[in-house]
Amino acid sequence: MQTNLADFIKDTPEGIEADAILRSCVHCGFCTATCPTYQVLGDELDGPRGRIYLIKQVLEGVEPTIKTQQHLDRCLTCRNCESTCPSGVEYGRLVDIGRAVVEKKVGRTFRESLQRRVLRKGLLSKKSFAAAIALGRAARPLLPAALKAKIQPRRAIGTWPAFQHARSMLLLDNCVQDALAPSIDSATARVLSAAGVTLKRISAGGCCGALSHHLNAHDEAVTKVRANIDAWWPHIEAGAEAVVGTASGCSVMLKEYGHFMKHDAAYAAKAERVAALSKDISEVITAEWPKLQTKVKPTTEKIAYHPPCTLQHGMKLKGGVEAMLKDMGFALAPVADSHLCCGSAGTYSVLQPTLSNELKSRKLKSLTAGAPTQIATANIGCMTHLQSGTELVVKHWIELLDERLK
Amino acid sequence: MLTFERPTETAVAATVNSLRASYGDRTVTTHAVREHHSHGEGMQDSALPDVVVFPETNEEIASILKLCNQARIPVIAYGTGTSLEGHLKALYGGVCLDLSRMTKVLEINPEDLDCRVQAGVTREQLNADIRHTGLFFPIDPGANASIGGMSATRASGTNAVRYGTMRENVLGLTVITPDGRIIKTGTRARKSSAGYDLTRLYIGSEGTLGIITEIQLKLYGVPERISAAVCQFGDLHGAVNTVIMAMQLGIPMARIELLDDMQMQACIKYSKLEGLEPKPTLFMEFHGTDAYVSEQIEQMKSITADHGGSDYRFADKPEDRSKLWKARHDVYWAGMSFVPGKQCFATDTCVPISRLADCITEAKRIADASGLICMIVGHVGDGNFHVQITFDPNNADEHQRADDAASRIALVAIEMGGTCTGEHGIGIHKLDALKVEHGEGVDVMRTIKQALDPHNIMNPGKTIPMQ
Ligand SMILES: Cc1cc2nc3c(=O)[nH]c(=O)nc-3n(C[C@H](O)[C@H](O)[C@H](O)COP(=O)(O)OP(=O)(O)OC[C@H]3O[C@@H](n4cnc5c(N)ncnc54)[C@H](O)[C@@H]3O)c2cc1C
Repeated sequence: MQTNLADFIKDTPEGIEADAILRSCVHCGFCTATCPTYQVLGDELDGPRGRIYLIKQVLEGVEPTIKTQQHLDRCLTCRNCESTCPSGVEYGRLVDIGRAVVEKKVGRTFRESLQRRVLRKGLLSKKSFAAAIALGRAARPLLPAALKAKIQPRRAIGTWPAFQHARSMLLLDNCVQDALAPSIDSATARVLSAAGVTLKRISAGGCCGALSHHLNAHDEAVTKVRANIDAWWPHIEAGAEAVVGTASGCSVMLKEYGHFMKHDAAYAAKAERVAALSKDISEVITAEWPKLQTKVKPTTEKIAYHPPCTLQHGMKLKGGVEAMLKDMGFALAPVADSHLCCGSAGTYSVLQPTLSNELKSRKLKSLTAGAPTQIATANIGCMTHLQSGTELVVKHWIELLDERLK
Repeated sequence: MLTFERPTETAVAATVNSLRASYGDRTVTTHAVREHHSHGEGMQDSALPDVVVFPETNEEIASILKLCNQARIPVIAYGTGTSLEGHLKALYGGVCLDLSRMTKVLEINPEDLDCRVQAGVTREQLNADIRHTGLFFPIDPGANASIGGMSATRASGTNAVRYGTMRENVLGLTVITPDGRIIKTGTRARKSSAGYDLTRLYIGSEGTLGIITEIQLKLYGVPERISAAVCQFGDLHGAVNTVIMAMQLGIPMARIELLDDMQMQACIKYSKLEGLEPKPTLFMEFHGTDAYVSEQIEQMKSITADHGGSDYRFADKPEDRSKLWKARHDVYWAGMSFVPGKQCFATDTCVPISRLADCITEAKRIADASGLICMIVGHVGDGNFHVQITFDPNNADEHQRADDAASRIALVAIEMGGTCTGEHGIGIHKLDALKVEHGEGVDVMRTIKQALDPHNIMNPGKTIPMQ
């Protein structure tokens, strides 16, 4: 694609990065066919090719409008398009840059800014999280009251293993997940303990930074990232093997720390190292699988698995979880269009309720088509989102593994 | 002589208002949407229509055309926007009719091997919708184009050597004339001697005579065995002469596609093809019964061996075949991706098979002399090939060299008894070549245009030179 970026951005790091990304795009439109919002709305500008075009125009000096912003807001950042793109266009990065520029130029209405601030503050602080969730709900009049109750199926947390192994890994103290489903982290700790690894919970920033980042609160995100790096650093120096993300949405952010802090002289090198050590829990368990597999009580239960976008598109980790579930004996119900987003997409479900609900019901239709007894996934966002629309229990796959350990 | 004057702003505004009154949200005037509809692929010269409308029925289109005909507002049909010759550039602004909401497969008649579709159905959608019948529709331009657009450009693809082009595969049409009449051309009969062949008049008319809204298409049974093979050559001549001999011997190839070394290099990178080298290459496909396919392959092997071809790499599994043909369909994107930031446009000459080697040699000489990165790819079984020329449109000199090379290659083919365009059409880029190719014939075409579209509102400035 031809580019001619405007002076205001041309020589900035964002401008240079965006220019390279735009030039790699040949506008073939293969992305459009796999874009969930394009499938629902059928408008070119609600697909990646259209959005790339809008961003290009803005970076070339055309004044964006509220409409431009709406088209960019409707993007789930599921990055399905990146998986499809033969030219390797880094759409996720581009849309981040585009959104920030558009937000600066167009601004937000008072109501929107308030909603976004409340979401951020609420979700970032564990205490007020419950309140924030309620607020989010208030913004979702489409959600039948009857379903609201099901959103937080509390499961027994169980005990956190006391034994200290020689090997250790660090756990991101997860803002949303801890409050919603503490059972995930304790299940992870038990499974890792069975593999001979101690999982250390380190509290620091309280969030990986993804949330602020996706709501265009750049400085806030940077503060979180620095706090996390500072808190983990002594443990990394003491030999911790990995920083583990138990929600794929966080894992993908952790892996981007290096890129994110690249222009921060004081933190760039450390961020690079943290990113290199960051692993999604599925990667960690895959590596330990030979040891763990022998300890699993086999099953024949039929379940459906939903691979989160951050896992399959963001980190390009495909098939790993499915393979382990099959090894455990689970029969995986066939799921049509498993590459498509469920509509959760972080705070998207609150900010774009109509689209999000439409995508959820489509996803649940395909997940339940094969009559599974429960649904597994790998990200807290997808988990609660899907749970709000089905009678079936939706769990993190690590919980299923934990349940089956002898 | 044809003439057209850009309508006044008041006339346009009045038309937009009445369109909006009738079609509400389906009347769009935002810049981004108009921009999206202002060009196709290839040379990126664009001009915005004043408004884009998304009609849903024949009747709606008829009343839009009546309105525009009275107000002398240009109307440009839009299928999927993949045409390559500036067909969609709104030279005089006007109304762009986006047919993407007319996507119904209206009937499938397996016992007669035909179907009827609305113009907005894409070739991939059609094949997905008829898969359960065991039938398929063979015409496959690289892009996932609309059947309406393919009819309007008389498109073809990799299967044309065996199954023909849109010309051979359309049995009839529903067309809306500029004065708002809804007519049906052709029948479901396989042949007919009833009067002028209006179907074939509208096929290839590039939206300059009327809007095609429904198409009756021939379908074919999926062959018992399909086998695809790749053969690589030490030089381009070996590959081209193989094709000529295969055609002259009458081997019923289903597909035979040539990619030169540069094109292969681009495709290997873009489509992540494994185990292939950047050498002149033929992608082939054989259709038929098991024994018949084996026989064709044996015959072909002896020809390729004589011309220095490699052993064959077969792709028999459906997923391997799709990967191979997807790589072929994506050559244009591969070419552009190979030289990031540049544009790419393709020549489209087609010559009698005996002249194919001469034409390719001459085209390659012209391409090399241009100093631009060029790639050759083509449906060579038909004598049709493309030189994909990459250039920087902001560099006037490169732009000029690209233009010159393209026109010279077109003239070479015409001199050899061929055509400047085998399948992409005239649009605005080949108006001069059309005159060279058809001389007086162009005057007759102009007479037809004047008779059927007296106010010249249908895609004015395209296909037929104004004078
Ligand atoms: C990657 C790539 C590969 C290609 N490969 C091939 C190939 O192998 N063979 C080939 O033949 N072409 C090929 N093409 C060109 C293009 O796909 C064809 O010309 C195709 O037929 C255009 O269809 P469309 O739906 O995109 O039409 P558009 O581009 O939308 O329109 C094309 C023209 O037809 C008119 N039109 C569209 N719909 C109608 C209608 N319903 N009624 C009246 N007029 C109408 C338009 O006004 C315009 O003049 C390729 C293009 C690309 C980008």
